[in-house]
Amino acid sequence: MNKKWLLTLMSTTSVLMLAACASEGEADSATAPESDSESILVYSNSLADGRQEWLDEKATEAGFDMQYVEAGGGEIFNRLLAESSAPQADVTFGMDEAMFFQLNNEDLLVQYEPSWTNEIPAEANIGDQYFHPLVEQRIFMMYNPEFIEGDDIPENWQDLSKNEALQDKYRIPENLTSGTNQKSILSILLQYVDESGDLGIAQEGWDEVEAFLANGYATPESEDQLQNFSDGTVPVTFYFSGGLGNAEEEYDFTGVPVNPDQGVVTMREQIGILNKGDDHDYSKAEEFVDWFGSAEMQAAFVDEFGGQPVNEVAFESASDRITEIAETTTPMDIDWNFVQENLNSWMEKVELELMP
Amino acid sequence: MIEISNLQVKYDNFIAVDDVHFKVEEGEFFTLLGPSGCGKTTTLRTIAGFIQPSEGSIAIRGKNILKVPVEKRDLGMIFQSYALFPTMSVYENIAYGLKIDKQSKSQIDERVQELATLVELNTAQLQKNVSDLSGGQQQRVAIARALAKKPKVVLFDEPLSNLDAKLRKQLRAELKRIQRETGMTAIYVTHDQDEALEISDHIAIFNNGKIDQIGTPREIYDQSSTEFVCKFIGDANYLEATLIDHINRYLGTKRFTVGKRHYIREEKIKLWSSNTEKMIPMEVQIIDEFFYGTFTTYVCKYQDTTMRIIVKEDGNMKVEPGMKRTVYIDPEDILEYEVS
Amino acid sequence: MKATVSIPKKEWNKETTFFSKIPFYLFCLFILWFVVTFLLFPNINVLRDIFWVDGQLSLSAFQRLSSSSRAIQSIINSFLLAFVLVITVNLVGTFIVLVTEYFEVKGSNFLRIGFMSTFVFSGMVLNNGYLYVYGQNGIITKVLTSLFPNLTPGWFTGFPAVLFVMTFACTTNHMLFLRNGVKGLDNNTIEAAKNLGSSQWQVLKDIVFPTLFPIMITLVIMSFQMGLGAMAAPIMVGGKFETISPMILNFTQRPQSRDIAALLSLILGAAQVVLLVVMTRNEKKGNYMSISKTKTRVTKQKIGNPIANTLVHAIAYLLCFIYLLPLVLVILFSFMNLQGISRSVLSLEYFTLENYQQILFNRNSYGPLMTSIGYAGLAAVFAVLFMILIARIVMKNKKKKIAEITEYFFYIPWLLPSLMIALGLILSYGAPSPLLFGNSVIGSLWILPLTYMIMMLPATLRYIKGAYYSFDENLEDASRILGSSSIRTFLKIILPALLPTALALVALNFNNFLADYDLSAFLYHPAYPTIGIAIRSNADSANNLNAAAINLVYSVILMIVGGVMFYLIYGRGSKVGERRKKVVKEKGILEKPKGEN
Repeated sequence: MNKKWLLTLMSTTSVLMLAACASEGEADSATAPESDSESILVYSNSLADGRQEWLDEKATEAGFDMQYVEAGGGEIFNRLLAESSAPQADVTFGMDEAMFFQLNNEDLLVQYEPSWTNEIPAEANIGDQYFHPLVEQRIFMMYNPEFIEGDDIPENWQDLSKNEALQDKYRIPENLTSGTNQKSILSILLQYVDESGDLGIAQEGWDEVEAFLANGYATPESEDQLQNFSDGTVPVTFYFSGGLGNAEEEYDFTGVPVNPDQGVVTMREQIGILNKGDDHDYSKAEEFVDWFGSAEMQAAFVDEFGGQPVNEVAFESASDRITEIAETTTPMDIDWNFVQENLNSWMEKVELELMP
Repeated sequence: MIEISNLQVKYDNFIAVDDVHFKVEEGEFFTLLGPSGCGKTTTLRTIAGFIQPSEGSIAIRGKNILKVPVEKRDLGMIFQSYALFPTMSVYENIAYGLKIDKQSKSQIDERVQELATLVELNTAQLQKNVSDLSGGQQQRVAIARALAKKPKVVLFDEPLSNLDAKLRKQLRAELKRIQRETGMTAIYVTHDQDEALEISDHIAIFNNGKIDQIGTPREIYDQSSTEFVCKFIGDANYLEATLIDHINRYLGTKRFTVGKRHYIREEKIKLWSSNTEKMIPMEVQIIDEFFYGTFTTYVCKYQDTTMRIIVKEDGNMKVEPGMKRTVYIDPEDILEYEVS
Repeated sequence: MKATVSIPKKEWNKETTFFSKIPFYLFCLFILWFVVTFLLFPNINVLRDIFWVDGQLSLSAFQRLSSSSRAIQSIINSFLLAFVLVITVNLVGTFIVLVTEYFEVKGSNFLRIGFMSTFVFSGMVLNNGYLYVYGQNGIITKVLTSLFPNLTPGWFTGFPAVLFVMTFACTTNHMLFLRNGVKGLDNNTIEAAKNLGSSQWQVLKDIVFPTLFPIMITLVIMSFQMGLGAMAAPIMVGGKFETISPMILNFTQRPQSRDIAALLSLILGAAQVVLLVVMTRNEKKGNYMSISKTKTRVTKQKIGNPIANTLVHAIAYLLCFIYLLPLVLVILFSFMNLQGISRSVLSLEYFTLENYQQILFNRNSYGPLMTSIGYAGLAAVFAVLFMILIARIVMKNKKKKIAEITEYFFYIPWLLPSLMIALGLILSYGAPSPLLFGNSVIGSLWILPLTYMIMMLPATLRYIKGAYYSFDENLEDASRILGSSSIRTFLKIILPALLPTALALVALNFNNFLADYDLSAFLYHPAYPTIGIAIRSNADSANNLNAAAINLVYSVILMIVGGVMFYLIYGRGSKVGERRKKVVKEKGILEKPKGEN
């Protein structure tokens, strides 16, 4: 009945008016911070666990007006890609080379040469000034010497699946969403680069990954992999250098990193400035990059939260344990451009076809 | 007061109400009677404004109200399901219309009290939730609510059909009393012929979307204008051709046409007659007997015609099943209809 | 007889004035705008973006998916779970409703609280709780391994574990709908059957179940849907038993694999829509999803057979124990330190208040909580209001094709994962768009609550429609004829009648999105992080070894917020709607969650 339609619609219009007013009000306040060119919006996956508060305090002291979006690396990456038509962030840091290469491919970064470029080892500076390394992480396999000894000590990732004694005794990635998990697969795949192979990897490499995944132990949500490592249930795992010190302390173990012939995957958390168009004023963002990447700030940062600064001047402030890891492992020679081109396809293939 | 002319309601190809005319006078109790699906409720809802007719007009006090929206028609309505607002108390239900009119608190109070007295609800009941009332009480609330604004016309949509027989009878009498006391004009829809006969000033009999007959209850009953009305109102015996032949022979005329359809009401067949000149005797076989206290019904048979006879009990009838007996019919009482 | 043709009472009405048409068309225009702007355009865009590679349709996803035995297996698993879950959930659900509402069971008020705990205790938190009971170091596991030394501590995994958890986690709908059905039973029919010599079992079998049959059909379909869409349980306790939803989430997060996610999601969505159609058919026969209206209450039946009586009591309390134990453990473990939590040992030795201090004394925790309450609350309220109006149109025009089609548009969010819907919005409205009157969604505050609202629409519409079935249309007529305007009738009569359902939905929707992380991470405004973001920030296991403890504390806090919300808007709010029901027998489901707090 139309009379009723009328009523319906009148009430709706009123509701919508309300809604419209409300959202308009919100929109106003929402756009406010963007119009303020003085404030710097940082997207980062490296703000958790007190980092944001720490950074905010220091930045405010240094006269920066900061805003943050923080989430996991994958989420930050997706968000940056999705917003490509209207980038919101001024600066992003924390993701690895592969992701920054992809961001750059999407034309999302602008070139800038920070004041501290000279303090970065030349071989680490691979971003053509679009992005710059801050903190280095090595992702390596390690074993618990309390439970693994003699011939059982693996020398390379491929040894794990071949040793019957290690059946279900080494940890495999339970998913491939986290960067560290992905690196465990990369550690194998990158030994078998072959242009003629599927996705640039020889069949042998795929077979090795499959065997690796088939014979290891995927930690269920109900368990804690470090606990398993510590009590010997799963005495072989993989970990990242920045977090090892705390983990050893908390779970009371001493892990021994394995340094295979090809070396360990070494990734560097990068920083870059977002491309907001030619007429955008980047001076504040540049100022922030200069400040945050400086030896002084990086030293303070790793001192507080662990990790190994790429900045040579700040290098010494890394903890002893990290320095030790850096000394016992050698970085693997990785063509990050090649990796970023194929990484997603590799991971999808592993998830769809090779995961048990 | 209210005049309906040439009313037609169409759903797609189906004509629910067709060519309906009637007139209701001020203070009159007018009933639309018919079996379910005959168009009576549709007619009522059209008057209320819930349905827009495809043709015709509805005028109240000479003013056509077809373009007037439901809420401005100044009508009261009482629903079969009562349709009391479940989220409001009894008081709030009755006061709802008054509040819409922005009457003052004291005016509303006064009017609600007045109505409560009229429909015999007590003060305690006014504060209750409607779901705490019995069906009969709920209908009283519905009546009070409909009357609150003193509407020009009150529409009743089978208001008593959800109640048990005894309560129905009681409320019927109440309705009549309320109508007398308030002088309201009522249009009443029902499928219950007893209810219609008892309560109405005039009745319109609906048949397949049309009105067959309008008249006082007595007219409708005694002079049913169509076979449908005759069968629908009261109880009538169908007379077979053999019996009509017998009557024609007795009268010596062709007064009744064989081939048309003939009925006689049950109470018009007599066991005795003093006026043999006028009354036509016939020999029947008594088949069965039903005793109802104030009257007795006999089933009897004349050749292929089975008839029911209602006789007031006076203790001296000497009629028993199995016996033969002469009964009498006044030809004036025979109703004759064309084959439809 | 022709006259008995049933006449649709009032679907036929001409406009009386031209004026009344204008707002009507305006409203239609609004619906059209909303459907196009938020439901069609962004989703078509995202699908095009995913399936159109280099200017042509790429269907390699089909091939990649079909060559993946893991993906195929997960689809099979989802359907298997759905089928089995239908049986187990309905058995348990029916039983718990009968023991709380139909049979005379001692302490039924306590049992009811236990069985209703799933209203606020759900998802990951619930699964976590079950792990404290049945997991590797779980209490029951410890008991079992001492009895059966051969049992592996990790026994609680795979299909049986998922089935077990979900069987008890998915009875919320039974406690909502079936419970009301039982309370709406006509006591006389039960008495009549007994009078005719039926045993209690025969009464159940011949009278109660047939009467409840349509509701149970609805519940069967709903439990099937829950099985298909299972997310938390397979992740937490599934082990190698993988299902579709976690896989969709996984693939959605990698841009290159989104076509696979979309494909999987469409498979899931198609199943949902088929079930929806079946359910809509079932609903047309009557109202089976009413959460509000109750008639005379059934007198509770005492179980005559003493053995059966004891058995029913025992099972009821056993079930209640199963329901409550994980909840209690989650609360207790939130007071344990990391050692206690990681070893799953409850002991005074590990007792600490530090977990709570860390969050409660951190002022940064409150802003996000308020933001989330605001976002989820706004979205819930608007979703419910909007769907009340849409449902109204749909119900008033049941016969009209266009109304039916309109309804189905609002089920679109079921077809795609939430992240993809968010992605669609960003892709479509990253730049100022005329559809949004020159606004853009990126960097706006309202995109997140808007996306919440869009995600809430399908379920909300479904429930509101259910409520309309129980609405006596005469009420509206009665109001109109008393001189009430259309708006007044809507506000004074229809809205209050729907209020209990509407409030229940607000509470349910609110709880579903309160702790959202996936959408937040994608869309939140830098100045207003949500609680989901805050939880991750504080409880990221890669950065914070104390993550498990923090998570527990947040779980407890969210349960409290959820419980309070339920009480405020569902428990107490419904009393506004039914405030005059002073008589105890009229007390409906809606006042019950009160007892939970």
